[in-house]
Amino acid sequence: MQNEEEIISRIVNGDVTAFKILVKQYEKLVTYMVSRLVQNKEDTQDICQEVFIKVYRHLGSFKFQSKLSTWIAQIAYGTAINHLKKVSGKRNLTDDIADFENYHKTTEDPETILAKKNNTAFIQQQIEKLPVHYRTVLTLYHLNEFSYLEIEEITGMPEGTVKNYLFRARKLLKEKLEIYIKY
Amino acid sequence: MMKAPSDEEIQQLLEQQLKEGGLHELPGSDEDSTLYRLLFTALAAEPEVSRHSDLAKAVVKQIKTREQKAESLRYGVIIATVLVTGVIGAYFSISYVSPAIVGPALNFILAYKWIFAFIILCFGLIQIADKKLVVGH
Repeated sequence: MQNEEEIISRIVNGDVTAFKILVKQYEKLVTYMVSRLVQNKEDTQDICQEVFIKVYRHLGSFKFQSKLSTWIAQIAYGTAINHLKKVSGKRNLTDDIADFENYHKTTEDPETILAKKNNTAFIQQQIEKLPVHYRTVLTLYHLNEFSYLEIEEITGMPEGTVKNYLFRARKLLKEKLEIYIKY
Repeated sequence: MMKAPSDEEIQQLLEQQLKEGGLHELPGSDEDSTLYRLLFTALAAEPEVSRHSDLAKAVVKQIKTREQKAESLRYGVIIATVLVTGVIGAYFSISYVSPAIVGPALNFILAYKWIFAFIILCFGLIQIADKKLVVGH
């Protein structure tokens, strides 16, 4: 991995090759985050492009007060959430959490469960059904390996909320997994 | 008999294991601990997502297209401003400026026509050079 400061300075001076290196370096981070939040494949690709265009435009204002990955994740989160707000209209995204109980009580029939490949595939499928804020913290913590403080910086949620969402999401998934395995 | 750990305790222990580098069976593990271990493993697995074949190339292409559009728009605005200013200027000249003043002004322009032509030429050359440098860059 090349020195980030050097790459950023090259990009700010108009080096397209350096920017391509940066995109390749953070492609996974952005794609995983956006695809978990947005879930529509076509929209996901457009939003990923939009995220990197924003990164390119605002890179000059990046002051190394945080890790570059945190800063990029912040842009990705903001862009994905804005898209979701646009798509869902006036519905508040935290309303999803109000549906938590319904999700909790919904159990699929054994045939559907048996049709699933394995534990991992099953969990991935269940994650998609979770409220957006749960999906966000799970992805940032487990997949992108950010710390609680970094997740707070990216999402603007207080650390306590992040911990709470993470705990509840995992507990919920554990219960789903338990039902799945018993069948 | 040892009390089974709560959900919170199991999650904290597994988080600690993640920080230390890998998940392994918890001491005296019960069914919940095993389920959580399976869950933590599944959560760290890379999801199947449809990725762009060459995202970097697509992004650079988009940036260039947008920059070209912005550049065209900038020139469009400059040309429109010049035209509108010209029309307004001509309207005011015809309506309010008396021929007694126009005569000496025209004589002045004619006397220094080469200087005026040189200024216009320089301005044009600067604009062309600026555009070429931006495109080359």
